[in-house]
Amino acid sequence: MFAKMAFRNIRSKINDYLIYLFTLTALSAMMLSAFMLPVFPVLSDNDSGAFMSNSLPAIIALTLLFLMLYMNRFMLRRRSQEFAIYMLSGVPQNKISLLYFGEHILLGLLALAVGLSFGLILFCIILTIFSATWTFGDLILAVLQTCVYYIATHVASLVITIFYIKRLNIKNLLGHHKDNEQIKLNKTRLILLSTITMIAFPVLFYQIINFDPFTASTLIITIGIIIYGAYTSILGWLSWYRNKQGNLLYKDMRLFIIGQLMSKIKTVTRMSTVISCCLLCAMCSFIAGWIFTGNAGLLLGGQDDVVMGFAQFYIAVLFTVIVFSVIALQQIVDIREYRQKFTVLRQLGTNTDNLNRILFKQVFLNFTLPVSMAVILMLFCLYPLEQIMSLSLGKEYLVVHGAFIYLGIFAVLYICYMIATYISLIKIIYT
Amino acid sequence: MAELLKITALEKYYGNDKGNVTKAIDDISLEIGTKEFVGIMGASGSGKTTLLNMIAAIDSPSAGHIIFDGMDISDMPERELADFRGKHIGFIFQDYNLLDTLTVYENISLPFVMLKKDVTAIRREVVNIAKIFGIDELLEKYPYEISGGQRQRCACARAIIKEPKIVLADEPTGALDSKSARTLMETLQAMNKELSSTILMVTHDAVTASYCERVLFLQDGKIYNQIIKGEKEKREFFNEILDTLSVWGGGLNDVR
Repeated sequence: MFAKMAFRNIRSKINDYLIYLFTLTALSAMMLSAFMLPVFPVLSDNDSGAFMSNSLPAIIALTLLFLMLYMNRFMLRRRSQEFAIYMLSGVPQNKISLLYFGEHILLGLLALAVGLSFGLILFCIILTIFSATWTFGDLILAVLQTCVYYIATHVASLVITIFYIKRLNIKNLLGHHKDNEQIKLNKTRLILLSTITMIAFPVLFYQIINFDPFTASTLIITIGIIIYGAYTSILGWLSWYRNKQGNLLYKDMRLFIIGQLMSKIKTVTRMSTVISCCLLCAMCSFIAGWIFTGNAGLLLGGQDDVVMGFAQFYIAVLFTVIVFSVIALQQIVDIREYRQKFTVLRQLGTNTDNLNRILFKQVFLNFTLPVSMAVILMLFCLYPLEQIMSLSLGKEYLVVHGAFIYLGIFAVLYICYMIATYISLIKIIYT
Repeated sequence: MAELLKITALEKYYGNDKGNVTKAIDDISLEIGTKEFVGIMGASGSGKTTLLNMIAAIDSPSAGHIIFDGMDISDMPERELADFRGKHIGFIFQDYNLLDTLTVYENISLPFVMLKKDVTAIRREVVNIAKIFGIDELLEKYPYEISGGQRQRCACARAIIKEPKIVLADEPTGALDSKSARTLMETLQAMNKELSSTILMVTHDAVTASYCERVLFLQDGKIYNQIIKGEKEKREFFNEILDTLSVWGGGLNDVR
């Protein structure tokens, strides 16, 4: 009976699961491509290449785990009332966990199947472009590795979520969808956190200028502190200002927009941190790609620099596309919430033009906030990076050119995704 | 009593492409004066909410005219209608329609924010109105943190803060227990008497309707009767409402 129910639930909630499926499909496709990278001799023989092709699946697996956990929380929030009704009808909690597990395993496998097909097509195109030779054994190995990593991550995320479900009671579940998130930071802690974040900027500058491969991990920690600290501080101060009934919020319907943002303050902070980290990786990857292609034949020798460069471009663009897709789909999935709130605003006397303006500001904020720290950090790191790279390569402006070309591609994707999301939301709201 | 709202020969049809047409409002004419507290009663599907929605300019009539304070709103363009709603109409709904992402204070201040009022004036007015409705202790809370009765009082405060010419209430006590419903109706009565608000309320609850000064009875989209409270006691008026309902076939089954 539960298998049938799980299958029916997926069918009836396919729209809610759209973002989930898309993310898993894209990530499994990426993972397969990463496991196929060793077919390029340059990415398996060379030390840094081997490091990249071996560590990339692990990075993707971590991203996958985070996204899956996020998505599971999101779906749980969506379906909390449904689960409360099951519990009220006498369905035991472990059966509900089993139902949830079953549904998500089915979806995960579906996403894996589609993702593997896409991944193969994508990689065949790349292999053809660079005329690389590969064997059937390479392919089977890559598919098996992808399946193992993917299933392990998927099961791990589900087990964590099921532990979370087991802690919930009917009362929690009935009120789960309504509660606004809050961060409990008083003014003193906010000042402390903001100060630490500000101090981390010159520390990062110093670390880049005096870059040492053995202390590279401390650099990553500093970046993490800056991004998480900045988002927590910005949103914390905004929340503090809102509690103070700050004058600026009572103009141009900012109150409504900020209210929407603050209701998911914890999720926004975590999500923005991960998105900014992903984008920063993508930017670095692109700049590395630019350096390799700009020094063709000089770094690894022969065609290898170009192959390595294009592998880096591929990762950069794919990460960026995934980030924007996740932001866009998340808003499309949230449409029901917008619809209900817009009906209230209309009843209170807001005309269509103003509603559209509010919606655009909301979409703009949802796209801009999560990517802003990545862009700020990139621009901040540009000068020290350019300094050390021009010294070691003997060529000037490679980093600057790479960064600005990436920012150009980024800007095009940002504008296209934002406008497409806005138009989709308008269409859904008014039909 | 000056006339605020005049409805003449109002009709509303709902239909589909297959030619099935339903007449929701059938040739209704009525007048409502300023400072009046009018109730509309009728069974489910009698056209109460449709009539209220047309007066609120949320729905457009198929025929007839709605003259509000000298303005014909039946053929006004959408942009002007939104302004009209924002300036002249206050809403109270059965399910409160408060925004869960905003605190009680922010919810009440929303109509003023839309009217671009000065922040100091917003603060002063919100605190004043919250005191009147007895929710001044709850201003920092979110709607899901307070009771149904408190939520409805918050919705009343939001409806009245901009001093609209008319407050439209659609089954305001529908989701409340009897004690909260009584408190709310006493609040609405006080709004009408002390703040001179004009109130038009839709209900199918006879007790709720007994707080009004005049009650219109709707059946199949037509006004079939109206009774006026005048100098009568509330209990007497309540019995008269029940009698009217039983005589006119709406039946006691349709009231609570």
